[in-house]
Amino acid sequence: MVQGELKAVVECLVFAAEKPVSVEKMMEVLDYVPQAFIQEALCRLAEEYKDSDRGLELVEVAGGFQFRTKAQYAPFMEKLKGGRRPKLSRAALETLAIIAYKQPMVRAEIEALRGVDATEVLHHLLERGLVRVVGKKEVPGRPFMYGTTRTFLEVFGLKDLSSLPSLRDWEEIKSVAQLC
Amino acid sequence: MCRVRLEGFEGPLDDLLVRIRKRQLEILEISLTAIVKQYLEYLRAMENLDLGLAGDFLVITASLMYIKSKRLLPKEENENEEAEEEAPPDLGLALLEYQKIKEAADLLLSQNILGRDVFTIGVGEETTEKEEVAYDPEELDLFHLARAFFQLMEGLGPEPYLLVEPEGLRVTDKIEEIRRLLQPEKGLTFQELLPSPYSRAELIVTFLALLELVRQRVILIVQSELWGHILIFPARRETKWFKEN
Repeated sequence: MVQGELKAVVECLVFAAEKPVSVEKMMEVLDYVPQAFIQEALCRLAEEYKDSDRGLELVEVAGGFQFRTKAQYAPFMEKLKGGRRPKLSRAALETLAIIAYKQPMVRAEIEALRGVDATEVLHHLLERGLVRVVGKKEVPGRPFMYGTTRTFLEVFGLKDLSSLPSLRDWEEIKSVAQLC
Repeated sequence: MCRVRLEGFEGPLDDLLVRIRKRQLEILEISLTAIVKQYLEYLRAMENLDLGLAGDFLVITASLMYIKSKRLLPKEENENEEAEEEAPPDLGLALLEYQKIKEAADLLLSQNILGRDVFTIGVGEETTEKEEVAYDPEELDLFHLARAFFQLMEGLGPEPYLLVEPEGLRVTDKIEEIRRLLQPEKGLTFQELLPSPYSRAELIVTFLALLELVRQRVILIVQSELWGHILIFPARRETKWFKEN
């Protein structure tokens, strides 16, 4: 395969997949082309899409690569899509934040932090596929422990859990916002 | 958070609580009345009542009152050490912790969210019919499994076995009962042997009892037509009855 062609094939693979495609998957499809080649092709693709006249960008989420529309065009996309997905409530968002930052967490721990019953909210998050049961805690009663899912990473555009923004980042965002 | 201006302290209310807990400030020198007054002014100044803020205030002021009332009450000699341990959970710290969570939630919201800020193939498509969710095997977990199971169970409706009275349902008992009911001259119908209403288990036990009685040649069973009533006769009489007909 010519080198330029590899980039084109990688573009096809990422474009046509419904879920983020991992580099491993691409290697498999491409008969084990060295990983470095694929990485390089991805890098160059990402550069090309970064150009201001492009509507899409190549992002790394949930352990794979995916084309997404750029955030600045959200208003148009919203119009196109019409009915939007039901939003997460504030309670659900806070519960999700607790689980995301402190996982694995059992229900009682979440409730201690938020001070209210979390049953409904947890059920909702489970239904939405944002959290999942990751095991049982070895304490009396063996309660379920909750953690976030791959869908969570996809929805919030995170490469992996370690790329969750830290609270220190948040302080910075806030202080920058105040200066502006 | 509401800022308060007092003698010896100026700043957010939760800060005040934290400092008092850390003994950097003396609660007896703090006027709770002044705090409440300033807070009410603050609330009035706000266009709309923010329930979150009002709630925070109540929690903090309650903690302050608790601490103050404790300090004002005379202490019993041997209570001193225990009292330290029995202090209520540190609400000030809990609030700070909760504040962090709220910020973490905002942090999540500030991400480019799929379906809100960014889109990809198929995201946000309107689905008219109820979506058949295909689960990623790696994402499948106990919750999905349990839900699938319980949904299935719900669809089954109540189990007929639940009607069964646990005691007395034995083939040997049923045999005795049939022997008792058998009369030399008259036949019994199968229905007469069953209570009404009967459960599936009773039906089976009765039937097994009949089969056993037939095997022992105690009774004879006659069915006049296909799907017709099952008639039960004592064996000896039965032979006679057969000859007569």
